[in-house]
Amino acid sequence: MADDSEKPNTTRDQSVLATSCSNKRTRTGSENPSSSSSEPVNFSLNDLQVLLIEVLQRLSTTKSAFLCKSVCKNWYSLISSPYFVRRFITHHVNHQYEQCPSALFINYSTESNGCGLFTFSDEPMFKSSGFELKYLPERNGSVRVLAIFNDLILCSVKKRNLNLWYYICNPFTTDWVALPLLELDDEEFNTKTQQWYRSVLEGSEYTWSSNVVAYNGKFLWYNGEQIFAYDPFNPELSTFIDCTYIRSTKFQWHWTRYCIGVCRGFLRMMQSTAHHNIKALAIWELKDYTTWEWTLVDKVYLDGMILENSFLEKILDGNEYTLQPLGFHPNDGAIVYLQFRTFVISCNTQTRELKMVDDPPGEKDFYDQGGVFRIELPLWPTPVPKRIEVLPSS
Amino acid sequence: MASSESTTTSTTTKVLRLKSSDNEIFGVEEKAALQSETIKSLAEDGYSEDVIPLFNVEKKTLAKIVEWLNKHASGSSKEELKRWDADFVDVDKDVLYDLLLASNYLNIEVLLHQLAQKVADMIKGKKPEEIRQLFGIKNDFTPEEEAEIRRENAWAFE
Repeated sequence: MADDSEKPNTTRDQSVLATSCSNKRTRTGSENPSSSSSEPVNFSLNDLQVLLIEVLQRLSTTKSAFLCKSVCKNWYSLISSPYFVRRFITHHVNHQYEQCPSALFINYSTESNGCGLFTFSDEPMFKSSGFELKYLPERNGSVRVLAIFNDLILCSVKKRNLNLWYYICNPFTTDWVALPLLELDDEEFNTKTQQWYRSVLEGSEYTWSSNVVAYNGKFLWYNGEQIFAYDPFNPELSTFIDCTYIRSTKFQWHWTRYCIGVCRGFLRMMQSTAHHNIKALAIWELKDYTTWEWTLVDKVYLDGMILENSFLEKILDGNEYTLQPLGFHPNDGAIVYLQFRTFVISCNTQTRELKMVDDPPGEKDFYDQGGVFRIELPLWPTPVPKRIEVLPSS
Repeated sequence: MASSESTTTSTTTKVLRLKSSDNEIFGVEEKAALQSETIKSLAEDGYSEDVIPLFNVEKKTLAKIVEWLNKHASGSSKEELKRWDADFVDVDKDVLYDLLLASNYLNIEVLLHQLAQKVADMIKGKKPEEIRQLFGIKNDFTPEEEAEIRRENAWAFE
């Protein structure tokens, strides 16, 4: 079991040979059928079982693999084994299967009702109930998604009494774990001490003109001139990320809104403007974290883009509104999310297409800057820790 | 027959003789037969001048396998092969099962993949009870155990 993760192909060939041999033995004579029991556990399965893994690793979706766990004990233990999970992932990485289900979460606020969460997806499991993380025990409050790591969501639920509940959950398996209750809403949770604590930063350089993102163990926000990277574990290691290059690059517009985020592991910044009949964006990426070298990924004029429908045309026909950058697609570098008026729009900078995200269009007042989160079911769902693990501070 | 040196540009084709477990002999061109890693290693071990015994494959299954080996060595276009393969695996599950065992024993990677994928596709969209019935699998869970597993994996049953 210990070394079967390496070179899956070699391992498979050996398994096939082993089967061929044992097959021969059991058919021609009656040698001890369990003679191969010293081999790793999955190879000591009988002939059918060796083929069974070949079959089950080819199930087109993770969901059907989980469903097959309830067929019989043999299937259950096979599908539950780390060996199977590795085989399944390896096979699906190397072959084209159906796309993994994905969804977009967007935090919003309204004048009257406080805040809420929108979910957009083609996957029925999201569509059915609006997927409002309904299985969480404190679901009657306002739910906000704060961060996503793989398929794990960190969300907060605010009750009327202002208590904040934090959960880590996996929306696909509906597993969750609660963090200790927080009574004030501006503290940090330290996973080492298992306690909340408050940090106060004083000075105009710490004000923000963008959203806050968690990146490489730091909290980042744009103060209008630089990005401040606050290290909650080692405050003395907090730094300012230089943005002179971005600011010195002349465009004919005056940027009014900023959003930062992470795409494919790189820090990105989006600037937007909607002045004098021009709606435009600039997207930057920090290629080198040590030299502060920013690269202009794209600049985009919304007016020249292909619109999904005439409704979108109608929405964009107006000058008195702010074009608000909302967030980045975590894996597709060409896609960003924007808010114009009260609508969320996805913008593909490569195909030059604009699409409505909220369908039917929502009548919400505000969307959180940086409050767009895309979640994708990985090839195998990430288990939710039963307790909050201690993280290394490096 | 092996002595007749080819006078044309085509190369001499060597034929391997494969013997099924029920003693039927199939002649297969070497190029086609060597798609099986098992036959390849037996041929390298010196069986090639003689009959290669395949103890685990009955003649009705071996006939199908030989058909597949020949088709896949015939230089058919990718599209044609795809259509042909889809028809080839469209058989009763008993035949499918024999072919799966044989392709595993003969170590024909591509065929094993096609057959295993076919079985996986048969499972797709079925409920556990239907899967058990289709493949003759006994439900060895107690009702309590089964309920617990369904509860644990409720998301997969939606």
